[in-house]
Amino acid sequence: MELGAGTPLEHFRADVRAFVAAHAPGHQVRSGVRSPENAEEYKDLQRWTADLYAAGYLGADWPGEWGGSPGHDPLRGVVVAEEIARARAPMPPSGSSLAANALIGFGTEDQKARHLPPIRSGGHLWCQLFSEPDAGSDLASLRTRAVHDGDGGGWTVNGQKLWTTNGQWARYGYLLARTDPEAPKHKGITAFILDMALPGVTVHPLRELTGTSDFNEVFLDDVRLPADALIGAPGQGWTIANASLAQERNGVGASVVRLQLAVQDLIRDASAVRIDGRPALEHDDVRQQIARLSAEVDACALLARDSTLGHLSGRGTPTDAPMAKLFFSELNLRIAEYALTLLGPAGVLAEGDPDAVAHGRWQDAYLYARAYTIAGGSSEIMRNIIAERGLGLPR
Amino acid sequence: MTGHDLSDTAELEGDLRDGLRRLLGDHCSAATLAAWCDQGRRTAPELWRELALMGIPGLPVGEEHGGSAGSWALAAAAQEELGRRLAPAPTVSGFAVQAALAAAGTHTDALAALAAGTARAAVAAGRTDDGWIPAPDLVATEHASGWTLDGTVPVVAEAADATLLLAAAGDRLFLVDAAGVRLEPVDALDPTRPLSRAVLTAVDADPVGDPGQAPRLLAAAQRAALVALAADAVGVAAEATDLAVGYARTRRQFGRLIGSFQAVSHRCADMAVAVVSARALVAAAAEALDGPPDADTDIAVALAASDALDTAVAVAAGCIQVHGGIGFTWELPAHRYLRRAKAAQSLIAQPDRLRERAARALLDTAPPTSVAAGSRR
Ligand SMILES: Cc1cc2nc3c(=O)[nH]c(=O)nc-3n(C[C@H](O)[C@H](O)[C@H](O)COP(=O)(O)OP(=O)(O)OC[C@H]3O[C@@H](n4cnc5c(N)ncnc54)[C@H](O)[C@@H]3O)c2cc1C
Repeated sequence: MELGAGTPLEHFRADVRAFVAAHAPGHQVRSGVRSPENAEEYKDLQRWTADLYAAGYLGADWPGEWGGSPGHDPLRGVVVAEEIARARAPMPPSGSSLAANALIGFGTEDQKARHLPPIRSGGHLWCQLFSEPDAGSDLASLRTRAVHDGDGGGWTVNGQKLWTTNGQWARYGYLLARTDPEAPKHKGITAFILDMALPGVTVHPLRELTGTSDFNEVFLDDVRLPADALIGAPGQGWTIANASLAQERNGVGASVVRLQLAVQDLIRDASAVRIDGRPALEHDDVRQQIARLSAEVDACALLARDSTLGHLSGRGTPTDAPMAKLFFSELNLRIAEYALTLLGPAGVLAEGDPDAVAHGRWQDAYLYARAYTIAGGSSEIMRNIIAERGLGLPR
Repeated sequence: MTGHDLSDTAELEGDLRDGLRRLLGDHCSAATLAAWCDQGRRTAPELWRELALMGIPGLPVGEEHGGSAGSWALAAAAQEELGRRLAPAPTVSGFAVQAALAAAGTHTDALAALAAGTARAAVAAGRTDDGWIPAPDLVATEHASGWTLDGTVPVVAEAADATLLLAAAGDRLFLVDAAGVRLEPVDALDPTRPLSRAVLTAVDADPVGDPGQAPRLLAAAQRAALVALAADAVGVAAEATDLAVGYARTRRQFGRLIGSFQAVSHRCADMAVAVVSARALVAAAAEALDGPPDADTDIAVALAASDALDTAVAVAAGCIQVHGGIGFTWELPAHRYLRRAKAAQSLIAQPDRLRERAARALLDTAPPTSVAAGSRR
């Protein structure tokens, strides 16, 4: 079920696999999109990001002058992400690649020159400053204000961002703010580069239900942005952001590899756990359930593959990515849920306990699984898109 | 509940719930509870004192044994309120041990102390998908002067400030003074129901009942524990529903209250229906406990527990989903409800195994299938 089986991509995949094995940081990553848990992990992530760019495994789709390889096969990017996931290695920060693509698509030469090299070197990590307390599913209603300071001047920004993954580590933020409150809501939004070190930027890490801190709230009080912080033109922010959101939803492909790993883990734990004195894996209902989940993972891989291929060929439909994301998020949740059922009495033990099965990682995965059904467009919003744009049902 | 008619019972229950809500509103507010959990505390002695003053620990026991009501129905109602506020009070285990002692008809002093709340008891048993069995690593030795226990019980719930343990070892049950047992904290998914590892080294143990009685007594304890845990789950689900509905009524997106989107309102409606039906099943099971145990008692308990335990998980998860990003934070109590619900599912017996047990009992009592239906291959 792998992309490009039987093609030159297969050789490429083997190379990537060897590279990941040799270079990925040693720390085990948790399920989901997580932040470094300490300065050491952050340093490892920076070094790892730099290695991937240097080897041409990341950023190959960038323009040649910024280190990309012209004629690059975009499927290679998918293979790289899949192999990183397969090795359970940390994913390079998605905020950085979202920002890089926004700058490549809409930034000035000067902005690219300033920001792309430090992204390549892992020196600058970026976060995505989109969501706000009152603008989540309804992102276009965001209220953070950026006011132009007048002729040739910069901008003054006021507002609050929320749920900012990696905000506590980020050197720069990819910011959406309202510049024209009179315009229709999608039209008055502008994208900016926010230097997180500027006066008036305050970052508070938030604790998540897992107990870890991956996202943050970011307060912006009279933050003075220079004129060249603007990405694209004033009012173009929604278009720029939508390209990023599409990129984000298309990232599901690599995550499917994590579901494949999860099914392998299920099989491992189901042979260790005993029910009625026999390994769980010998029970028909357990075998049936694992087989069913495994089939669904295959289906999810195919959906994600078709969505990616459709996106790359321009022949996709607007519901490909939402379908893949919805299917993925709900399946991911059910796998973790089933794992806890399978653990039986050991399900009450959490990470710190030596008797916890698989170091309590299933409990963490179970709790974290909620993130996927909410973040990057909730399951309800995905269903709305499928119903309205795919099935033509009235809004 | 002899001597009371239906309206008396309803009134008693109403008063009990009101009183408990007031008490828990003070002692288990979201902020108090969050601080309690996040400081890694494992006992709440002030709360326990207040509960004891109200007679909560002794609800299932009749006044003749030092209890306050002699009603499992009231005990279940109280436990629902405790679940609603995620109260860190070891009542589920306490009720279980009281049920075992009452069934044995011995140890009346211990029973009275448990009912009065001056003693707190936990169950040290082996844990399987189907429920409690004798603890596999616990060895009972008989000496001239009596019995001693040695070994480790990996997970004992609600034992952090227990004064007594009901230990299942070999073919007997024992009461053990918890002061002589090393109780080590275990890292639990649900901090509001702390778990311990119990290490026993030559601990004096007082046999409860004869060897032949042990299965029956342990079954009585487990039935009581399951009903209490199920009632607790109903409370968890009821509060999670209220939280979700409250948020759906105030949160706006796209210029509308999110509760006006049917994806949200139908989810809330399903949650409410699940709570009401689980509560009805739990009430029926509690009533069954108030009568003499028979096959129907087991069915009622298994059905109520499997339904309520699963409902609480589904509803707590729904509560998080309705809250969006805020639901994913530590700050919002929704995850505490999910943790309490999820841990309860695997605490005593797995819901699917309980359902299987009920199915077996139901099918065993069903009339034989007609021959004419033929066989399916
Ligand atoms: C782990 C995590 C990481 C995140 N990282 C980032 C980040 O780095 N940067 C960033 O900008 N954002 C980030 N987000 C924010 C995320 O994109 C939002 O949480 C998401 O868009 C939902 O918005 P909300 O939280 O305001 O919920 P709301 O939009 O308030 O939704 C509440 C509930 O209402 C439902 N609902 C809303 N509208 C409708 C509708 N029209 N029809 C039916 N149901 C509806 C939702 O599905 C949900 O169940 C992150 C979120 C999470 C959980």
